[in-house]
Amino acid sequence: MTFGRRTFLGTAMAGVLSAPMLRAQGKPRVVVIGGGAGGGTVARYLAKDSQGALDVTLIEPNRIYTTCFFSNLYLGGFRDFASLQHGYDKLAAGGVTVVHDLAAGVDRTARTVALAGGQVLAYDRLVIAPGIDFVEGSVPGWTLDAAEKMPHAYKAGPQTQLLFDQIRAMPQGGVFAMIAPPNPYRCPPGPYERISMVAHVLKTTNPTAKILVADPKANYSKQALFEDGWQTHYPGMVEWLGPDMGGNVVEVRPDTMEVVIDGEATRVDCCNVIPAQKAGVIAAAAGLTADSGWAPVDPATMRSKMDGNVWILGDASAQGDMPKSGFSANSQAKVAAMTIRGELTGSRVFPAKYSNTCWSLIAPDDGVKVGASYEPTPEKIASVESFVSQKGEDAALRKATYEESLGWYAGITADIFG
Amino acid sequence: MADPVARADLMAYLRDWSDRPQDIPEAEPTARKTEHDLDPAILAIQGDPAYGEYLSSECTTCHQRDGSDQGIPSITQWPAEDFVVAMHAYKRKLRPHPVMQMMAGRLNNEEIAALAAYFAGLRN
Ligand SMILES: Cc1cc2nc3c(=O)[nH]c(=O)nc-3n(C[C@H](O)[C@H](O)[C@H](O)COP(=O)(O)OP(=O)(O)OC[C@H]3O[C@@H](n4cnc5c(N)ncnc54)[C@H](O)[C@@H]3O)c2cc1C
Ligand code: HEC
Repeated sequence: MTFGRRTFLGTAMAGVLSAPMLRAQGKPRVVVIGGGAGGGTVARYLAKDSQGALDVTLIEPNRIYTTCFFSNLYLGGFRDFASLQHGYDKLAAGGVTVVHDLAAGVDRTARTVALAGGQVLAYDRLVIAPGIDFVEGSVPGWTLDAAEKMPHAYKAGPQTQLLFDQIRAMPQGGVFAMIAPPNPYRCPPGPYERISMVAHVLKTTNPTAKILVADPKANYSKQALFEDGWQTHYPGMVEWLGPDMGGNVVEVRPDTMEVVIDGEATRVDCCNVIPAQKAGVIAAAAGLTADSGWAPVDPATMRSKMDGNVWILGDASAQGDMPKSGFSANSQAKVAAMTIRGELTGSRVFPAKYSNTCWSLIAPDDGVKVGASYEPTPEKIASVESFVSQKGEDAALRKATYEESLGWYAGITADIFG
Repeated sequence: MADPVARADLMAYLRDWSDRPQDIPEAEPTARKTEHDLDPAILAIQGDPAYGEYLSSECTTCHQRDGSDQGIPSITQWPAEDFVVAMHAYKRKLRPHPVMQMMAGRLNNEEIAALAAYFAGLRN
């Protein structure tokens, strides 16, 4: 663990008048909560580009970050688990003080962050990038405790490994069920890429098994491409029930491994429950979320609409048209780093540009993608141009798209973690 | 091909016209002078590397800063002119890739020059 000098000073100064004095004397301090796609990127860019002019502290409880991106490929047997894992050593070597603890509270008047371990860190600017948490009660019958039986696997880690094992332990001819989430949620194509990967595993090891998806949404990301792919690669295996078929009236019974759809109970062998989502709880605890559960931001900077000293990045933010993705979080972090640095050090500030691309693997060498570029308008981050893979593309293009996604994974993880 | 100049010229030509330019091997890290009909005034723009540095952060989500080229080609240390020509080829949709057409499509001539200046000077 890297305990910076600041950590201890922060504790000593907690909440007292001397904290602002310290600020006036020392370098401007930026504290970042959450070392994922958004927080890792902003911390790294702030430290790199300010060349020592800023004091950057990253708070993240885990010593190893496991990417959700490509975790479906792990489920499908295309990547090993270790390939999803990244440490913080290079961020620390790049000048970021990494504190492995949980932010427990934010005092926005005193401009301090209290850590679960008891320390208090003072900040001039705060970045909150905690990702998502689940909305309690959104799937009747399911609680976080039930995740040991019915995993969400929507925060990557042990949950992902549990789902991996459960898929492979299904009896021949068994049923895999997924309860898909309502909008908005992280990675719009994520559940459907996952279905593809589960189908790929079952096709080879358990070809008479079935996949049942209960979905509260009438349509979803890249739907035509997924449906076409399932038809081609896994004919008859996937049954998708949208809201017109009761996919929005669902209950689960983890003890008996039952899924109740529109009043009808079915026994299943594996059940992946992806609940409704909201900003990571620290954002609400800091009083920065709206009724929607997400934290509204200024589209040109990613600054919180509720506090001029706070920026919100990634999944937790309510910004407009960008999907909640690692790519988006990384893109937003660069705008945030530029604007924070400009404000604290006087460096040049350029107009914000945002972009996103999400690749999905449907079957071996059958990759598809969807992407868009975005610009801030007064109301929201708005999509300006977009593209999506087409049905009927030739095998060479689909393979190239998949290979491109491997390049992207290597690129973005180097961009986040150094 | 024995003659290195002829080989480099061929590679540059292929790179320009292939829709999978990353599959074309290069001995040098860059393509050589290429044939194109780009306005000389566009090529004459002096890029602002500080602006290029900010703009480049959008590219490094996919293109690695250290020049690795797994799955996605390297774009570091190209002569600025070749870089500008390639970007305008995407912008004008002469090169077919949708991601790069979109990326280049919203960059103006000064921004492309700034990126070319920045990436040309990027050392590990
Ligand atoms: C199955 C799946 C597939 C996906 N595939 C893709 C893909 O192909 N491409 C893509 O771009 N995106 C993909 N995503 C989405 C992507 O993972 C997220 O959108 C992205 O991680 C969001 O980044 P973030 O920084 O907002 O949150 P995260 O990356 O989740 O990071 C949040 C971090 O904050 C930490 N944290 C939370 N609370 C606190 C606290 N109180 N104190 C300190 N630290 C805290 C957490 O430990 C975590 O490390 C996928 C997601 C899933 C689930
Ligand atoms: C979403 C991923 C992605 C992003 C972001 C991206 N690129 Fe690309 N880039 C690619 C891919 C994939 C190719 C290969 C395209 C092809 O086959 O023509 C490419 C090709 C290129 C090429 C031609 C390389 C060659 O060998 O001919 C250049 C130059 C380039 N990109 C520059 C940029 C710049 C500058 C940016 C930022 C403004 C950028 N790219 C952003 C994915 C990306």
